[in-house]
Amino acid sequence: MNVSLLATEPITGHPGFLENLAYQSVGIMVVLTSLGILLLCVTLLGRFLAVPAPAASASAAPASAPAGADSCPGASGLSPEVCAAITAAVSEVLGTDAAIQSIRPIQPVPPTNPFLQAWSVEGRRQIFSSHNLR
Amino acid sequence: MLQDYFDFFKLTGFPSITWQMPLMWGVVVVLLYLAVYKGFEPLLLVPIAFGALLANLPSVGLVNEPAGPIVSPVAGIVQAIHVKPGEYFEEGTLLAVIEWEGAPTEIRAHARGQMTVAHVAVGDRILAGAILASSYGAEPGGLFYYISRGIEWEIFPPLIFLGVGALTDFGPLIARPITLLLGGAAQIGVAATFLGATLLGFTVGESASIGIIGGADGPTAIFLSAKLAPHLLPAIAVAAYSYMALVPLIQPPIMRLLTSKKERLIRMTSLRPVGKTEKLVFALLVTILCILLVPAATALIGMLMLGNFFRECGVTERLVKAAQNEIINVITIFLGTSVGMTMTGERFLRSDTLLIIGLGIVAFGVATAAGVLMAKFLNLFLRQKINPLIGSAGVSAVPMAARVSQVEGQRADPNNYLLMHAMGPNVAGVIGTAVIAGYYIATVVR
Repeated sequence: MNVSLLATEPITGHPGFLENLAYQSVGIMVVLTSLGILLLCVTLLGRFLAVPAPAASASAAPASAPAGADSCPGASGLSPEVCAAITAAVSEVLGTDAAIQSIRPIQPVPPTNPFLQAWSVEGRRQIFSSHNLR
Repeated sequence: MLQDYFDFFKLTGFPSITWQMPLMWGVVVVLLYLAVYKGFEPLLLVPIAFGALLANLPSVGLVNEPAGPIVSPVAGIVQAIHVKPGEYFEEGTLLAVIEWEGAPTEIRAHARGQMTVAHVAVGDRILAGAILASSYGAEPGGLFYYISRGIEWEIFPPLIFLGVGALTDFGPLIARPITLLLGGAAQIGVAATFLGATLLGFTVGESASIGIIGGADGPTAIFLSAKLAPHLLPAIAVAAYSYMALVPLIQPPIMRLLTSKKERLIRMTSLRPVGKTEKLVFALLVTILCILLVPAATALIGMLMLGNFFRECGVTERLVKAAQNEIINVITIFLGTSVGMTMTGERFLRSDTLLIIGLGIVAFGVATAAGVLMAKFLNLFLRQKINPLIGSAGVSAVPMAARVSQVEGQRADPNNYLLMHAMGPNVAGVIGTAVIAGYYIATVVR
C-alpha cells in the first residue's frame, strides 16, 4: 500500500540556509524519534522477554566443580583458570546439571615418526583450510 | 593491400579512444591497487574498478540499449521530426527536436533501428516521458544494459540489505538499546554535509546523495543517489566505498581528539544474553515502526529485517544461507560492475567528482564526531557509563567501525574489549541511515 509522504514541506532546488537548516533539523528529529521509539519498545521488550542472565549458570557451575585448584576434582596440578575454563565448557555443552567427577590430563602422545606426523599435520591443515570460516 | 590493412585499423577500437579513457585507466589501476594490494573493500572495489575499465574501452554489445520506444526526457512542444515511419536510422541520428520556453532539446536515436510508428506530430505539446515513436532493431541490448536495470530500478540495494540482515546479529543492540541513539547521532554527519553541499551550489537531490556518504552505507548511498541524483552515482559510490575502507584511518584521530584518556578507559558491563523470541520480536518491531514512520524506507528496512528474521527464526536455514552467500555475492558482483559501468570518463572526470570526494570525508568526520559526542552527552545521565569510543561506530560501515572502536579501546587499555558493545551502535547506524534516506526520498523533489 502506498502511503502519503510525511507532512513536511517538500524541498527543491537551492533552498536558503535557514530553510535548509530547519529541514535538516527535522530530518535528525525524525531519525532520533524513530530510534527513540524503538529504544523504548526494545527496553520494554527486554523487561518481558529477556532470558535469564548467565549468572544462573555461573552459580550452578561452581556447584558442579568449585573453582580453585584445590577443589578441582582429581587434578591437583591444574591452575584455577584452566579448571574454570573446563568447567565453563562442560556447563555450556552439557548444561548446568552436569557435574565434573574428575579431570585427568591426557597422557602425552608417544613420539611418532616425524615423517608420518608431517602427513597428519598436512591432513589437518587441509581439512581446516577447506572450511570457509566467517 | 596496405589500404586494406589501414581500413581494418579503422574497425579496431583504437580510433575510438578518447582523451578521458587513459585517465580513467589510471583511476582503475589506483582502485585495483587499493583493493588487491591494500585490501580496501576488495569485494566491491574490484568489480567497480573492472566495470570502470570496461566502461572506458570502446566496447561493443556491452551497454548498448536495444531499439524500442523513443521517449522524450523533457516536456515541451514538438518542433521537428526528422525520421518518418519506415525509415532506418543509425545510433545518434537526430530524430526530433522538442522546445520548451525557447530552449530546444535534441532527441537522438540510442540504437540502430527502423522507425515503425510516430506517436506525435509537429506542434504537439508533450509531457516528459511521453513516447514520441516506436522503433524496431534486430540487435538486442548489451549485457550490462540489462544488468544495470538493477540499479536504475533500485532492485540491487534492497537485495544487498537482505543479505546484510541475514548476516547481522542485532543482539548487542537489543541488550543495550541506548546505543540506538549513537546510531542516530551519526546521521548528523549526513545532515551537515547535505547543508554544506547546498552551500557549494549542489541541488537538494544532489546534496542528499552526497550527504548520505556519511552514513557509510554503500547500498543506501546507491539507492538514494539512483533516486535523487543518478548522474552523480559513480562518484558517490566510489567515495562511499573508498571511505568505508578508510574508516581505520579516518576515525581514530577524531576519536582521540574528542575523548579524554579517562573516558577511553571506561569499561562497560557485559551484555546480557538475548533470546530468540526477543530477536524475532525486534525484527518485526523495527519493520513496523520504521515503515510507519518513514514509508519511503520500506524497501531497505523491509529487506534488512526480512533477512534478519530468516537468520533468527531458525527454521529457514536454506534461505539464510542463500541470503548470506549466493544472493549477496551475486548481487555484489552485479552491483559493483554496474556502478563501475557508470564511471565513464565524461561523467567521472569532472570538478564535481573531486568536490564530492572532499565532501564525503567531511561527512564521515562529522558523523564520527557526532557519535562520540552523543556518547559523552548520554554519559551525563547514565549510571552505567558508555565508553565514548563506541560512539564512532554509529556510522554504519559494519563491522569495520566497530573494530576501530575495539582497537582504539585496547590502545588505551589492552584488557578492555569494546567490540560487542560497539556492534550495537554499528547496526543502529544501518537503521538510522535507512531512516534518514527515507526522509530525503519522501521530501526532496528532484
